[in-house]
Amino acid sequence: MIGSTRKTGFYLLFIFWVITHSNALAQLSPIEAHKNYRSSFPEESGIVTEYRKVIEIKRKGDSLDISAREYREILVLDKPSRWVKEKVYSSAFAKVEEVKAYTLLPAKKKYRKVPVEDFKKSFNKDSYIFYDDTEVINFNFPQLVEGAKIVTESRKKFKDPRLLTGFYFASYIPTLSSTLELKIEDGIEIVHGLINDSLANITFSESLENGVRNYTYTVSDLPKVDYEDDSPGFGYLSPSAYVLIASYTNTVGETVPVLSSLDDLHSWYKGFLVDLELGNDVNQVSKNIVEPDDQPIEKVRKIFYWVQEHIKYIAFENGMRGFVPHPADYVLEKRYGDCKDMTSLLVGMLKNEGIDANFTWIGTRELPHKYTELPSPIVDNHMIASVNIDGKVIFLDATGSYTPLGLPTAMIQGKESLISTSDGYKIVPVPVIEKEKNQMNDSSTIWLEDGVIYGNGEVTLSGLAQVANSYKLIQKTTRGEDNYVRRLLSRGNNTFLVDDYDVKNLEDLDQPIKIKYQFNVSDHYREVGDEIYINLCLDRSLVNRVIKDRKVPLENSYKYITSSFTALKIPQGYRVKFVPEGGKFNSNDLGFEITYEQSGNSIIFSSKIFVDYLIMNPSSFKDWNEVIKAYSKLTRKTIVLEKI
Amino acid sequence: MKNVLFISLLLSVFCVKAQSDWVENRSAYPVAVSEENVALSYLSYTVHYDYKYNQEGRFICDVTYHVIARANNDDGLESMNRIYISLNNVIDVLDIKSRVITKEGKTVELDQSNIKEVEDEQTKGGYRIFAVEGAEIGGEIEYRYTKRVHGSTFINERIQFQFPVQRLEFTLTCPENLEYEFKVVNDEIEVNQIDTTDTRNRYQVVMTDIPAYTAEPFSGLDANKKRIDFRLAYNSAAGKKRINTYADAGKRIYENAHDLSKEDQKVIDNFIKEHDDNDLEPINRLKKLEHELKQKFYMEDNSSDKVADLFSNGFASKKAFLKLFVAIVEYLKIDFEIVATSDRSNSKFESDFTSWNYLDDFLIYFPSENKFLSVHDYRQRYGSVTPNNTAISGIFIRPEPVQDFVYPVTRLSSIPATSYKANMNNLDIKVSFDDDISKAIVKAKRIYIGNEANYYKSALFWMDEEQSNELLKDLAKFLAGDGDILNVELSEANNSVVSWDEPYIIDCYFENEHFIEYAGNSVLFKVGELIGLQSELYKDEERKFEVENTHNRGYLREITIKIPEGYGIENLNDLVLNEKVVDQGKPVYLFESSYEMEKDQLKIRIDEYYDKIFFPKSRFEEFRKVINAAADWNKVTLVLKEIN
Repeated sequence: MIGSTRKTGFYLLFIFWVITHSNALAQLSPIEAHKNYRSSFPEESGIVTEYRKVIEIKRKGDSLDISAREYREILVLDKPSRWVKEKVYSSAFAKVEEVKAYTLLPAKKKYRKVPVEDFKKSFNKDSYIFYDDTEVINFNFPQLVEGAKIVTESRKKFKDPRLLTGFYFASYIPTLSSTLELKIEDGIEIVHGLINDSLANITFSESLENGVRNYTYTVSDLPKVDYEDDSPGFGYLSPSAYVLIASYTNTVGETVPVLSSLDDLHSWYKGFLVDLELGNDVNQVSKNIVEPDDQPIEKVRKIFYWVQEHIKYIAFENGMRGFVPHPADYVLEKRYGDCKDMTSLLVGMLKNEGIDANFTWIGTRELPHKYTELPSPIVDNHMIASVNIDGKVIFLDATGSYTPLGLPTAMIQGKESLISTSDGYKIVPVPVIEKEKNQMNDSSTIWLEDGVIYGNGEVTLSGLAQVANSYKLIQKTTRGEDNYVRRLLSRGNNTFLVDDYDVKNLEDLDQPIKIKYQFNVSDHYREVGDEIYINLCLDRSLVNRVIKDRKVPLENSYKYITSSFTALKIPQGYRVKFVPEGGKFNSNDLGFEITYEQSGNSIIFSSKIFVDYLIMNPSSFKDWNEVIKAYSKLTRKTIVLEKI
Repeated sequence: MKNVLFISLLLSVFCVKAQSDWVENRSAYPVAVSEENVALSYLSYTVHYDYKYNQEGRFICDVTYHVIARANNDDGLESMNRIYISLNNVIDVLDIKSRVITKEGKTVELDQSNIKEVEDEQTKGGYRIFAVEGAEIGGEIEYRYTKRVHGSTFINERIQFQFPVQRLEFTLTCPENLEYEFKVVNDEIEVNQIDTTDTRNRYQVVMTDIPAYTAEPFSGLDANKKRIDFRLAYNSAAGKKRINTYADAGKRIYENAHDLSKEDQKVIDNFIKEHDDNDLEPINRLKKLEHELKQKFYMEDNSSDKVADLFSNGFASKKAFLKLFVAIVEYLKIDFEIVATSDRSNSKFESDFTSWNYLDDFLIYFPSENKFLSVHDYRQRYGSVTPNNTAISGIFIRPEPVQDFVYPVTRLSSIPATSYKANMNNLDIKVSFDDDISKAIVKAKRIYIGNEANYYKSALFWMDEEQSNELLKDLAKFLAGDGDILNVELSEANNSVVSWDEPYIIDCYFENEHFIEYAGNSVLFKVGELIGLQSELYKDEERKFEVENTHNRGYLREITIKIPEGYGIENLNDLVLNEKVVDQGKPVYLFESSYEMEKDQLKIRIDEYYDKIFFPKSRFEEFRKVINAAADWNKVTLVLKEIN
């Protein structure tokens, strides 16, 4: 990804932009600026006129002094009320030491400054992190009108040199100018560079001034990041810069490594894993779960399932607790924890049983980075355990409830993991689970009675489809579960009702979920004169999946296959007059096959659909749509039965 | 509140023994039959309000919650293992205890050092939070806390939740000079005074087997949950008179509505100066000013009550809006009354029980015109108010001049809902087919009036161009389904002050091949899909609540279809569907469809309306038939056959 030359529509858009919009905002009066940009951006209610971050790294005694100043200026083009509220985040590692904000009100020749006076901290009860020491500082820009500018200036201090963050040049609104400046004192070695730079024409310059090296990345006229549903993370869509402090020279002239290589990152991480001694409780519980003569894989299975079932995910972000797991005994007693805590317990219990289990860091798919390209904590946001059984690495992510042994959670597929081993570390990629493992197979028999289709059948869910549905099938109320089953099995039209159902294997993760059901659908088949018309393609969910007007890639949580077999019993006194032809069609990302077969007094309809992508780029949308269209065409064919 | 205190009352400052004791070393509750198939069951839910005067003579209350629950699945457990204690209005949290009794009978106590406090300056509150330690499925989770709050005069205590309660106990104790009144909302049971000592009054209610609350379509949402509403009715220390009456509320609201600072008055004067049009009639001047305000400013709970802040930030509380509108109508010398009522989806204004908690929303009533104005709802304009403030009662506060003073006089009256004719959502559709009848070509006009239009009209002031276009597409998509929208345009926005009562009209033009299916030589045209997917009540479930509609509304749909040459329709009678509910001699809910053929033109007319907000549960089936008639019509399919 780094320095990648991925071509997208953005680039062309950008070229067009530079040609048509060489701007000189500074010379415009406030009223002219508003008028100009309002007509250039008729669809936008605001644009970033200037975004600048200056990171300054100095030596201070034997450590480093790292600060970042940010300046962000937005020109309000329309709907001022949408721009009133703003917030700044301050974490224990990047603490906001100063924040200033103000409105620049447009006057005849220049702007008049009205400062924000009230800054209020808030707490987000709905955050997935239960306790978070990140402070959210909220404020309102006063007296906003069209043509005003809103400015936020902040200064942050970085507590740990390893936790220095990078810079996103783009935003959800267009950006006229975006700059990252690095001011690095002599004796400090940094590594810096660009990610997704093919999305923009970022210029770079450097200079030396009084022993301070200045590096400047700057870009003008960046289009907005067009974030849509099911888009990959922002890191895939915006050009960004990374900055790592590799090392620095201390007061006695020694080189102090910070993040010069993966060795540094790992040895820092490793330091969080000391003091995780096992107590007696872990031993006792482990002994109760496994049998002494269980094979290693059985021990792993039992312990992994036990932790998934008994430890509930509750996340705390509290200073270094964001990096340091609790000891296994602590987690065992509390029965809750975050990913690190669950890993700590898993590793503790497995080691107790003589299994070679290891702490493993990983970034979820939301993050675009790789350890092999960036030895930095910005690569990861998650921790799992891994074991080595007969030379094969098995990943254990206990935060994903209902996950069978051998499957990673959907969110870490294809990512690099950093496994801390007894003699060092290794980077091992987590596999992407192939579609054949993630299946929903449905088989049903239907018959017609007084205008109603009745049927019974069974659906089988395996792999990641099994996991995803387990979450939905375990509900607060039986009504919630009933409604979900109705939605899952839905076919024909919304008169579809499940008369009865029975879910099996929800507790047995090694078996696919099976749902036996009986259902009815009214108003789906037509009886006119001597004829009956019935469309056996009852699942229409793919029909409306044509991708239109989308500029950004599409992300899918897992690859899968969905298949269904429907056997229609021909009503007594009728015979088959017309059976449509089936067909098949596929692209790289999507495909299907539909068949009809008459067998005895039944017509058997079968359909198989596969979806085979995790991220689909816009260049593949056309092929995708071709498949959808071909599918839709076939689904519009109806069987005709006639009275004998 | 201010209280006249006597020395004897000071003597009553003592802590009564908590009503729900924390039993050390208790054993677990037996598992009740009713717990089967329930994700979580509250075994015991105890609330105790203990009112008292503190050492300084301030009226305070110690509120204790003591809850014991058992979870039977992950979803149940995870909704109970994180506890948030709101610090809103709280002086101090006196005591927090929590423990888990596992299935095996082991007790795990909460480590007090794991209780965190989080600030929220925005809501003037924050939380004490903790994760329940040792929680697991099948075990009991127990917590108890007491928070000391400023003594409030009115409380609505919710006693019905998403999970069932096996036993609920509510008690209130207070100094004997105080007398409380209670209403158990949505239940027959009553709170009784069970004891009066020399110094304390004590009230109690015990309820068993309170079912879980589950929302139903076409019902009153949160307002349908069981609640205990209570109020301080007498304070013998201050006299024999009933206190906290609606007359008192009226006086308070009236005074607060006039509580303007110099700064507030200045911004109001400036606003009027800028936007008032003296040439108009007073009501039209008001409408113009209202329109100006409601396209710039919006209401936000927990924000400032000051009008000046509304003008600076663009948002403020309901109270600020009331002040502003009262100032405007007084300036315009229009006769008015202030109306205060509840949002009936949250809690209904109870006519037989006085509580200031039902006075959350403000309207202004104009007696000479018999019209209302919603002060804070940016979607509404003079003459139409937030639907949830209608079809209930409220208090009407009339300023009565008495010599040189104005004295507010308060009465109870109702706020009527508007007729369905004022809130229409109409369709005018013309359909033809291409030569080979492979797709339907549709020209559709969507015509919205009143509350069906207000959201869209007002949204234009808040959305940017991109969002407005998205909204239009969504409205077209409702009809076009999976088809290709060739064009959609807003032909009449009518969102100016003078045209607000006129319809909001969208014209769209689309093609849809999915409306057509082939059955051998016959063509099936899914005419029903032209009206879009309709609300349905197909699932036959026992109805718990009466019918409640947000607002009365009507749908008039006119469809003209050009039948392809050489084809005839075999099942035209399928287009006819009639259902209606008659109440007191007049149809209140109705669905009627009919057709006529004029040469090759098939003309269909569908009338549908809902003209009664509340309808008894006993007659739910009748209502359901009308709702389902529309949903059934959505499935009507015409069979086109070649004429020999």
